[in-house]
Amino acid sequence: MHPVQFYHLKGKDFFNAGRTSTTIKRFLREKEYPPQVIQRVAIIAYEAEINIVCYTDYGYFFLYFLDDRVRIVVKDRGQGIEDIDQAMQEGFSTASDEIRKLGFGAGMGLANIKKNADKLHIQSVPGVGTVLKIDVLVNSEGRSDSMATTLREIMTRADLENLTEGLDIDKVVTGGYAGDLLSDVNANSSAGNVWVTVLTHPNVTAVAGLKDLTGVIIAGGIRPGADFVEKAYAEKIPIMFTEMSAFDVVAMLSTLGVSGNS
Amino acid sequence: MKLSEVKKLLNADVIFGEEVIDQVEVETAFASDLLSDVLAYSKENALFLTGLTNPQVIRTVEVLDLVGVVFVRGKVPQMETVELAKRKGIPLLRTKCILFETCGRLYGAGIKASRIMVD
Repeated sequence: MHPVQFYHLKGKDFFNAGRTSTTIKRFLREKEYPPQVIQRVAIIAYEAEINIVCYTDYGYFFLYFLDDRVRIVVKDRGQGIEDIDQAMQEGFSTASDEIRKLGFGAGMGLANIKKNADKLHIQSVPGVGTVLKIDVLVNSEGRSDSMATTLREIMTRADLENLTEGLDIDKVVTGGYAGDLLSDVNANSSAGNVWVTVLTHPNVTAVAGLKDLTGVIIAGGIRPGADFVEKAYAEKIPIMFTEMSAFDVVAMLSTLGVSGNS
Repeated sequence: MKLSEVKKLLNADVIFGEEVIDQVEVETAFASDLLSDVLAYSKENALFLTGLTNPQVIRTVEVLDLVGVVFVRGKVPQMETVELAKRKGIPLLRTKCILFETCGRLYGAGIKASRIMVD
């Protein structure tokens, strides 16, 4: 089974609204997930799909099949949500008449998603788009209360070399960002992200410190020098090293459920 | 009861699924014109009673594993809706009864609510 599935969804495509969710449902059924899990994931995906069709230009789903959970990451480019608390309330809706005619827009969508999720995290920028991260646990055994992956887990999974022994690698990784342009990473990464880069210039640690990242993975096999490591200690930014290509590191992070920044 | 009995009780037309209505078993039903409410509250295997006619009705049935749809108030489903139901093998009935009457007749004949009340 592919550890990650990707689905692209068009906005305003009312006729096909729901198609991806039923595809996901069939897929989960083939994989013999428990019926309750299938149902919950299908309802979450359907409501998210309807939201994409109704309120955005386009969006996409990543579906991660992790050890103890199915993780759905939904991203869109669209109007975004002004007030998330308000949007979560049952009955609150900004739907147009067209949407209401379809039988949606009664203000149940996000509430429905929340009801069926074990974990839900929403980020939204009005006028830009929304990111939903949703976990549905597969069984109650080994239930953990967090959606979190840590740098330690990542290090262990891919046998990364820790260049900064002693620095904290148990902080929660909120997502990932890959890039080799400092200004780009400075502009687009978020606090708590893990950064994948092939750069070995000491300024990497300065940007990582400034943006409060959880760590940096130096990919591609070019080992940073002593000055780099020294600065990393000063900034308290853990540095991991690997010969894997940046692409493979990102793919590996995907299998752990680490998703990209909005 | 079988879907064929539902058809009789409601004086319904079969839009699609004539060959399966003697096999499909109906024990519970859910009536609503809000699809999100169906998604939130219906349990699987219910018969869906609605005045909505768009293809999302069928998608909802599929997501929830409902057994079929009765369009009430004489509503005629859109062509795309019927096509989709055919592809998915979901039986469709149409009755001129209003929703209240539809529910009443089915309830009187022993069909139970898919969910009695919300939490």
